[in-house]
Amino acid sequence: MVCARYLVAIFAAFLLEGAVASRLAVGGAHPDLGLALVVYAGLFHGRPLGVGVGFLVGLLRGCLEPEWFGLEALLLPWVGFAAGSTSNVLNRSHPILQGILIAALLLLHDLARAGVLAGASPAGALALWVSEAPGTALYTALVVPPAVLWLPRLLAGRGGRALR
Amino acid sequence: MARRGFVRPGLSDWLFLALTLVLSLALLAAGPEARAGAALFLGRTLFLPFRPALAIQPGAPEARREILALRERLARESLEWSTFEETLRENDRLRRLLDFREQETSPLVPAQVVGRSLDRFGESWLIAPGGGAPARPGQAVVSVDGLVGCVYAADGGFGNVRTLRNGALQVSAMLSGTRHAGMLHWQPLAGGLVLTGIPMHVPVRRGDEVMTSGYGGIFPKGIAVGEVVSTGDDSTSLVKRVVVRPRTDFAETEEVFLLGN
Repeated sequence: MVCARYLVAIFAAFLLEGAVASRLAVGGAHPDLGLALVVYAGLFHGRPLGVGVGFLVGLLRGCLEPEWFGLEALLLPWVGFAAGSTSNVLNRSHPILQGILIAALLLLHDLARAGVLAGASPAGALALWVSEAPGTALYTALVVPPAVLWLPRLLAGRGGRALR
Repeated sequence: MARRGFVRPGLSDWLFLALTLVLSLALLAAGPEARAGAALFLGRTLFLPFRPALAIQPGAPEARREILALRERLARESLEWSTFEETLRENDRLRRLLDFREQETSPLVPAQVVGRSLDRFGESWLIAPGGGAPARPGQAVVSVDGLVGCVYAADGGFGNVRTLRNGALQVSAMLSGTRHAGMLHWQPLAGGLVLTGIPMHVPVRRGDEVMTSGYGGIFPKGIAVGEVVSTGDDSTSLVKRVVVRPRTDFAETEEVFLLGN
């Protein structure tokens, strides 16, 4: 049941990113709903679901970037894995901690991605990362946790609540 | 109560992660064409069931059709007006070519934006052309405001578009006033859309219009791209670095048009 909810949430996040998030751009930065969903999946349901959601979100994103199809599916499972590893360490219901975790994992994800895209140029990767990632990380961390305060109940279900 | 403390990943955690990594690496290891084919197949499969829902506004199909027709007409008029202005300038400069054959405008095929990648490292869209017309790699894509980008992969009626905000796309463009041409490409670190290759002696002012030059054969000459917002020196100090604000609002655009089908 939880998996079905996440499948719906993945597709909804993907459509929302295309339809709404682009209109919420501030200084070129948009909230990264897909990555936030991966973090929430890992945080509230552990590593396997975080990895699975990360892989599916990555595949969906790849549809729009045929040139790098598979890259996001390679990186986002790590985000879910890392979020799942913090599942029992953090007070996961705390929106500020959620925001910090989302921002940190988004920065790491973008650093890895910039490294791949910039090839053999570490300076280029760093420059790309500095120009694009911090704004998005801050925006996502500020917007998503308050907006999804209600989601843990919906997504966690009985098993998720029992883990808290 | 929540269990506290770090829990070591179990064997199943590692195996599941390894499985996704192997699948992803297999995709990445495939050739560019195979990757593009797989991506478009997946996109088409996922988006096809939702296409009618995306295309039809409940209760207002007539109004939507009318809006689409008007937008297409507006885009055509806008394109023709750009071409007309361009022709006037040509005639003014090149009097001996006054009887030069009028430039034909390419047919416009309306298409709907059905997916957007908000990738911070290069924006691309998935579009679905109307009327069963297939998209073709290399087709220019315009909106009612100006140039959007170029189709670089297509399959089963869907096309993947690299927008101007994608560093992989380079467009030959020129200043409409001085006629100097350069290469336009997305450079987030340099301020966004940047026109390079304009000699230092060329006067460039804020607000100057930038349009496609027609060089390269993909984008017809005279399509509005944007206007100059600032200028600076390139690192070589031999050419100018001109920052251009695109005319197209990439966040709001929902319908586009394919040129030259």
